[in-house]
Amino acid sequence: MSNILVCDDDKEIVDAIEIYLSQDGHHIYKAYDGEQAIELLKKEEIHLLIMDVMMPRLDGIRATLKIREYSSIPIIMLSAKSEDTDKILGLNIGADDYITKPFNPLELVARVKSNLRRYTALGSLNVEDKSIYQVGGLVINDDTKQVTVDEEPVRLTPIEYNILLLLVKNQGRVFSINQIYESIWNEDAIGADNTVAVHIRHIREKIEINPKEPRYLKVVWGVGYKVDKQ
Amino acid sequence: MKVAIKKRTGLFILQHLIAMSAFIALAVLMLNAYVEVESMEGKKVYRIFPINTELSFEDSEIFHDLYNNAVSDITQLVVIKEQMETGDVFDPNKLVDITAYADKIGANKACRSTAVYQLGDIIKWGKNGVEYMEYTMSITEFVNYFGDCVYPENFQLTRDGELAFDDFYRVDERSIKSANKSLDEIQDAMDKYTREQLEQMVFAHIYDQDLKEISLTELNNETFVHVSMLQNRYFPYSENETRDSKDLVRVCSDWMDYFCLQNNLVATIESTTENYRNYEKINVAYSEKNSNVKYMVRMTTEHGVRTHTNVSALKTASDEQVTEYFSEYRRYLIYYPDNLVFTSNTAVSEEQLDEYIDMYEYAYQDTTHIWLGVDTSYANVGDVFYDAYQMYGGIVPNVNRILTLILMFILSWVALFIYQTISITKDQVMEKKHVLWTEAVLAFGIAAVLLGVWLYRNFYDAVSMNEMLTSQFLGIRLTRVYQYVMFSLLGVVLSISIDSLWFSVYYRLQAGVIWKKSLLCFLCKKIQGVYRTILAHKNTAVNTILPYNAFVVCNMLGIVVAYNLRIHYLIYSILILFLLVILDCLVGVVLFRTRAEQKEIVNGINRIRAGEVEFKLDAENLHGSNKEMADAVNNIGEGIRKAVQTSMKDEQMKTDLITNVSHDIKTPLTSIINYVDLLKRSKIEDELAKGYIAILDSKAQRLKQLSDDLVEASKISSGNIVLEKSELNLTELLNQSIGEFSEKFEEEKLQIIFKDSELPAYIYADSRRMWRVVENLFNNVCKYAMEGTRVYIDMEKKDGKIIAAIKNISKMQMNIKSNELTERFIRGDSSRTTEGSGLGLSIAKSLVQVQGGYFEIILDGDLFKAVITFPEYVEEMHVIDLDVEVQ
Repeated sequence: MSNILVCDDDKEIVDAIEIYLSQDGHHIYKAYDGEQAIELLKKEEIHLLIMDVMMPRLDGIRATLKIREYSSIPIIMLSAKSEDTDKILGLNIGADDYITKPFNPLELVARVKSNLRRYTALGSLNVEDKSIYQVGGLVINDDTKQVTVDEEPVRLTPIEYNILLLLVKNQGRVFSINQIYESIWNEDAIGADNTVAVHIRHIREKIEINPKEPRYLKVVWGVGYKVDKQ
Repeated sequence: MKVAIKKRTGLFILQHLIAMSAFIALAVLMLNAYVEVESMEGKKVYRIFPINTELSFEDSEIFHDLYNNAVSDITQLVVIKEQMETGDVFDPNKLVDITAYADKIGANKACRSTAVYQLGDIIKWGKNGVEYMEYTMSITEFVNYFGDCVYPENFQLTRDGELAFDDFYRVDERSIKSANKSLDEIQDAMDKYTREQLEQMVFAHIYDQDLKEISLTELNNETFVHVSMLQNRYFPYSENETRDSKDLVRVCSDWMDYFCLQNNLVATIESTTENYRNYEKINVAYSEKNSNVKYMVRMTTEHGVRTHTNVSALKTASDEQVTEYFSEYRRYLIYYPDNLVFTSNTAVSEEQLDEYIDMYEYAYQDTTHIWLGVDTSYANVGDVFYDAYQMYGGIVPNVNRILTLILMFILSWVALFIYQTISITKDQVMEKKHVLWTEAVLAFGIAAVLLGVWLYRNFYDAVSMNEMLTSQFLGIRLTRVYQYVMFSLLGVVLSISIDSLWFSVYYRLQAGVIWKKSLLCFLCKKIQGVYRTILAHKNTAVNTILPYNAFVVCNMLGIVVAYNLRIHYLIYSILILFLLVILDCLVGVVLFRTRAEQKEIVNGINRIRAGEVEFKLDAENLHGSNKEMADAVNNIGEGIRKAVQTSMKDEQMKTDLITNVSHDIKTPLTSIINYVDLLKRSKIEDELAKGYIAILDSKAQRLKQLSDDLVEASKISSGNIVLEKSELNLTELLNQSIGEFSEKFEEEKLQIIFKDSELPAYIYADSRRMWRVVENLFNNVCKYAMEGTRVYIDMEKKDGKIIAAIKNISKMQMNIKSNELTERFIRGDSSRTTEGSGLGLSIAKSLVQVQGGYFEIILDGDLFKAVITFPEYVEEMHVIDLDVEVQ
């Protein structure tokens, strides 16, 4: 399907990634440092780049900076550096996603898929329709009551759907548990407890690749929940 | 307990009030029981004690004392009256023969001549004081001062035939003298000498008498005589001549006479003046109208009968009539020494009276008759007998009552004292174990001093009691009221000091620290301490004590010298004082500077202690030992700074090391996890192999968790994290977290009981870190809570604090201390092998603390309780549209 360049100084990791992505039908190019990656990128038609940060000769950060001078292909950074600062740095210099080692292979595959779709299908959606709400790869069609994430349909219960719709309709606004309860159940929030929290968790499990690091439905701890504008 | 304290305090106060009352009662007794008399010997105080309530006033001791005093006074008064009065009236024109008078008072030294002065002159002279003049003359002048005395009659020949001055002979004596002497021989002998030599002989004779009025000086080989001579303020009386023409010198014929007369005159003046003063004082007191004492003294001399009395009606009565009259008095004394009659119904004996009279033997001849009685109707109000009678009447009937009252007070005081002692419990003893000796000593000291002074003044110095009690104290005139106040104060102080002394001893005795907490022990220790300190700081002692003593000595010496010089060398004494002031100012400035610098150093130390390790004292501007100290402080500060720097560097290195190691572990771990996953996907039939793979999977996951936690824990503990604080509702956060964990809890069959899940609990914290804390705690609950039990979450607001507690029942027995749970890598031993890094609680605690909260774990049997305390966020904001960093 797509040509994916995997770049890591650890051969076994590259091989393992190759196995996973090949199973999804992608063609894999392999590189073991930044310079090799840049050379390959020039030679071949690459759709997505998975790159380690700490590599000999040319590291991932500098390589990314160079690549971004002429290319806008999705770059997923794959690093053992798991600090917030590392992530922010990576994303700021032009990476599209950041995955920390050791990673969950399934998550990697899902993210690759997500990034590829967004790269290839960006802007193709008809957002004119007022009953269609979109946040990144998440699309809600209020007419058909259908929810898709990266074009894959997601099955939500009515309450889950309503909660998600409320948050997506008011992107960027934080709703507290009580507010969500009152607007969905139309009841006073007394005794609502953690019902809403449980529902939210369920929604996250359905729409997020990694529910612990949600991309869409985010938890503002001690305040409420929100869906960020994208 | 409080009631007991109140009761104790009440009893305490009551006891001292009783003591006060006892002393007031005593004061009533003491202050109303004395009279003051102006007597010949000065002021006298007579006390009513000892008291015998069955006696009437006239039989009492005080009456006897007063009567005795009156007898003594009157015997003297009569003598003085004799000297001063003519016909019962003071007569300043009365003539006094000074030699005769000096004879009477025993001051005469065989004086041959005399002078007569008027009484008034003598008294005036005495009042002004006698003054001497010093005359300087040559020997010739001196010898011839009273006229030429170099006559053969005045010389004699010794047995060896040597010529010597014999004595001054008066003209009328010369004839007698010359009868015994061969004047011609003497004249011959005299002719052999020069006039000067003869004068020398005369002078040597006078000088040999060792008279204090004469002194010699030699100047240019010439001898000068200094003579002290009385300044003639008044002149001897003379009827015909004008007075100033007849001074004392003219009365005398030679120096021996003069000096003798001068002595007599001075003695007369002094004695008479004193008599006059007493006369003024006493005569009025014993006058007919003022005194209840009646007296009559009749002297029969060659000059006639003289009667002194204050009963004018009897002045001319015969002795028998007088005796009859005086016998009427309740108390009287009649004495005829010539007839050896002594009748008295008083305690004054004949011997006593004789004793008084013997002092004035010259005045009292045997023919003197004395009558002395007391009018017991006390018709003359205001005299001392009247006062004493009134006082006696007032106090005697009440003495027993007051004494009984005092006794009762004392008894009840003692009773309370004993009760309080008995009722002291063991607890109180322990509580007061450390009662210092100071309070007791202080109170006792004050009381002892007061009491001592008071007792001394009252019982050994009889006159002073009145003086003390009526004198001024701090400028306040002590009236009766003050006296009572002083007595009551004395009572209270005495009571308190006895109490504190006793209880101090008692408590210490009971607590077994009688010696340890005693003053003596304290002093011993102090002395020991001082000795040791001095021994240990010999140099300092020399540096400090010596200059200090020198300073003190300088000051004292300066003051003494200045004081001594003030009369003759005022300018020097001012100069010395000025120098002293400068010295003191200098010392003051030095002391001030030292003190100020010390303060500066202390401030510096405080700043360093507070963490300002970069701080440096400005040692250049300090002096002496302060400079050394400042340098030392700077060195310590520098040392601390280096240590802190090193420690921070070490901590940083540790964190870096852990982070790097963690990264290096993660790369191979990634491969392990990936290939284990791949293995899982490959179609392995062997169940055993599948089991092994599952184990590999779980262990690999655990390793991942471990490395993450390790990095996090080390970062937090080294303070290497950035907090993004905002206000958040802890209740909301807990609700959200419960939602997140709902499935996990269900798996473990744990029931969450969240009370107060609606309580708004706003705190100011980093929301993601708080989630991390709660997540760790909930993970902990899931791992270690016993299946099927309830987990309680309590929220509480108290004193501006938000307290959240999570309680669960532990699956396994916890044989570990709660603080160990929050230490890195510590877990219950039995759960060592299960999942998790053991860092969860440690991270949670560090995170809470780093955000300004308080984290505590309480273990009670199987109950595990984690408590998070945060200060409440004051501005309660319900706005939820907040751009908060989200996960």
